[in-house]
Amino acid sequence: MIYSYVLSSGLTLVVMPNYHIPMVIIDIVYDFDPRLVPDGVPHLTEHLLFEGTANIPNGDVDRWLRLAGGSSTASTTWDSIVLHNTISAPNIEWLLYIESERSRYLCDGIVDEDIENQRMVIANEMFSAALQPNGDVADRLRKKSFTGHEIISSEVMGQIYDLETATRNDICSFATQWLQPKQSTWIVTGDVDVDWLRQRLEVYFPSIESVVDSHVNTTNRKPETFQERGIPIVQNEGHRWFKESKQDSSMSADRLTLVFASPPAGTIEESVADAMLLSLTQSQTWEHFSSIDHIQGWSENRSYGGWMALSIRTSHPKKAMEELQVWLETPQIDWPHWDDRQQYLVAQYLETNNGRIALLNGCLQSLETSEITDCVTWQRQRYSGEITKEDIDSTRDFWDIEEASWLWMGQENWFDGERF
Amino acid sequence: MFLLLSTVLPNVVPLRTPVIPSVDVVEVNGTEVWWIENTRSKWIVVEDCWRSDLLDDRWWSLEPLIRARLSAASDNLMVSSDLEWLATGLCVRIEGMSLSVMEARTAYWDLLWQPLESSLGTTIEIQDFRTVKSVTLKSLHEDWLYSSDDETRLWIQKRIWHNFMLQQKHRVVLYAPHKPDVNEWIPKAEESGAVQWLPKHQSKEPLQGKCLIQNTSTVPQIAVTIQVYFEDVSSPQLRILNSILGDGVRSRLGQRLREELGLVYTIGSQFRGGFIEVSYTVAPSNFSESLLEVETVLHDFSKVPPTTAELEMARSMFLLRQYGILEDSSTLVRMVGRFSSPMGWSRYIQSTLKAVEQLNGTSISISRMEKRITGPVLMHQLAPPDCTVHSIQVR
Repeated sequence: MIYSYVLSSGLTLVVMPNYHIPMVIIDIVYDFDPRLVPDGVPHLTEHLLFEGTANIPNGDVDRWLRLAGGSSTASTTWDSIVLHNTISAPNIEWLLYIESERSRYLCDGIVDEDIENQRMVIANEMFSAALQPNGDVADRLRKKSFTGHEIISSEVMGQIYDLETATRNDICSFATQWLQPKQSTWIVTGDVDVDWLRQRLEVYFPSIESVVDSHVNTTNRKPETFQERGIPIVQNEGHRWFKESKQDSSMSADRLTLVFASPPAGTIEESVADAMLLSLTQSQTWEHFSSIDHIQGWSENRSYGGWMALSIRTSHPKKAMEELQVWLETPQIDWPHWDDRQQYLVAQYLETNNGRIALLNGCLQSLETSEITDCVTWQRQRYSGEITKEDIDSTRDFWDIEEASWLWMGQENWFDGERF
Repeated sequence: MFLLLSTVLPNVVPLRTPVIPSVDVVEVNGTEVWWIENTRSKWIVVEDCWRSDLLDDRWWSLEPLIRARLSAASDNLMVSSDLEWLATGLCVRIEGMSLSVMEARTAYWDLLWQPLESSLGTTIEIQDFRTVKSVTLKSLHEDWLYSSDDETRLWIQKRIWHNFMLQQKHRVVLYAPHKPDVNEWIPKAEESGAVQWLPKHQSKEPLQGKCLIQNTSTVPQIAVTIQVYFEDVSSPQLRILNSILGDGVRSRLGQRLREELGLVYTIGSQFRGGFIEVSYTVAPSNFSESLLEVETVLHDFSKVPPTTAELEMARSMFLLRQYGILEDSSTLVRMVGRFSSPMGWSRYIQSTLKAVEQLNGTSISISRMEKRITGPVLMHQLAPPDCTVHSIQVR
């Protein structure tokens, strides 16, 4: 059973109880518009969420949670900060208190020393990513492939310059505007009393006009479609890049990465594209390609689209693309088997709290808030209906190799690409 | 402010010790079947483990071969499988929904038991050693450093495979709604006649005191692994020490090296059975300082013994992990299977909790610290980092 509410503060609450063990997982997604925030500030703010607030001393967030049998981690995407919290069920109120502090009183607890410390930590984080073999390629591809789309191309991590110039005021402005209940979705699973949780959240996150200064829609927090918000669909830009690979390293191999714009989340094309992407990464598929040694793939998607990529290990990129083109023209996907696979995945996800969170997260990208209660059914039936030729054809439009951006990492600049 | 805290925050409710599921054991022809009843879903997890006294580090060379066979064994989309190497053998774990698991398991067995000869001398990618799961990376890395050439390794594979098949001790751990008919769950292995014995103890240069450095030109970063050995490696107190030392950013290592000094992004420690392993990656410019700081944190255990708060946090985190194990059927099967008896896990939890109580206010002795630095180290032009063995005695 899944419950969905929009509280008086504008906070969206989605709960899927699971009473197997006395634990609760709470994911909190704070959406922000990257067009309206300075580069790097969301990521820096994310780090500061673990330092302290007006009423919680530095470092005590983690200590308190540990004492209460819990933990908290966070990540930042190009348009959201995601907190992943675990807590023992009897101590859930600790977490509610900590989250209310983070949302309402973060700025008052920030001291310059914390900012400086986290600048160094993030600098190490960036350094680690940049120095791994191809460690930052994916993030750079996202930013460079869709320069015409001001949201998806946004700077998430921030560059060193952004970190150095970010001020306490930047962080406080960000927190005041975006770390607010109306911007947040709470995804909860585990041993929790739904009514109790809802009531307590009304206490911890009251509808305070001084804090939440915009009009709060109490029936549906996300009434706007991406078209209404003026966000264009992500488009391919057809860049050509070259990056010379190091011959003496066993970690690097000649590799062709193709970057495509993906269909908007929640559409049938997204489901088909997802199946095509995953099919291509199965060894049963690429083993039939004579010029391709291995294919990896990934995607990130939103209601206005997103991006997907294929990373192909090959020594013959031109031949590899020809073989890929042939497959994409008539993708060989066994849909009944694909349906079986989906049944397996849903059953596996339902086994654990973390799996349930993943299921709900997937649904929240694709379904309206009011439809979330049907999440499990939707996930189960994603491929059970008949996928028509029209569905596949309209999806193939997104898989246009010529329109895609290419990055060739090898010895020879096959495609006359710019330096990546 | 304090009024707000006292009125809003409840007292921490201590986590209760989890209820460990009972395990039924059936033994047939030397093979044990351990059954854990799954009352909450139709999910089945089955793990087949083979153990032998004849194993040595070269067993790792079978990893890509067996993994390749498993990936080709079944196209059943309703199951997943995982191969795990142990110090004493290997386990294949299959999970999924009811009947599909049975079908897939038969397919796996058929392929695993096919003669190995057809696979040898063809296209086994030894390079794959460095791409397997991180938990095995250290051993694979060491093995790779000490191996001579690939042909020799393949030849050895053939011999140890046959040896293994004859010396196996088979155990099945099953998490399923219904108790199985054990005769159905123990397929018959075909024995090969081509047996060549390996010496039980292969002569291999011991790694103690060695500094393992792999130079590459692509990774300007140093992956540091420091192993800390103790007098009583079986003590549950070491698990608690490990938690206080390196579990999370507010552990002693995380607090000092990341939060206070900004030397690293991630740092942690893991209890590896015989030792605690501190691991992190660091920029070359911070390398020497980071080593000194790690040593200082370790030394400080004698000056600043675990506080009550640290012990309480360690206890909570320990129990949190046990609940996580209970929830995840695959992990449950793996953990239960790792202990030497069905009661082993329960005793382990109880003894660890007892150690928390006993540790209060006392010191933990670090009898010996030995540094081994492994992983890619960059830049050939850099002078080798200080890699000498440091031994410390802390009471």
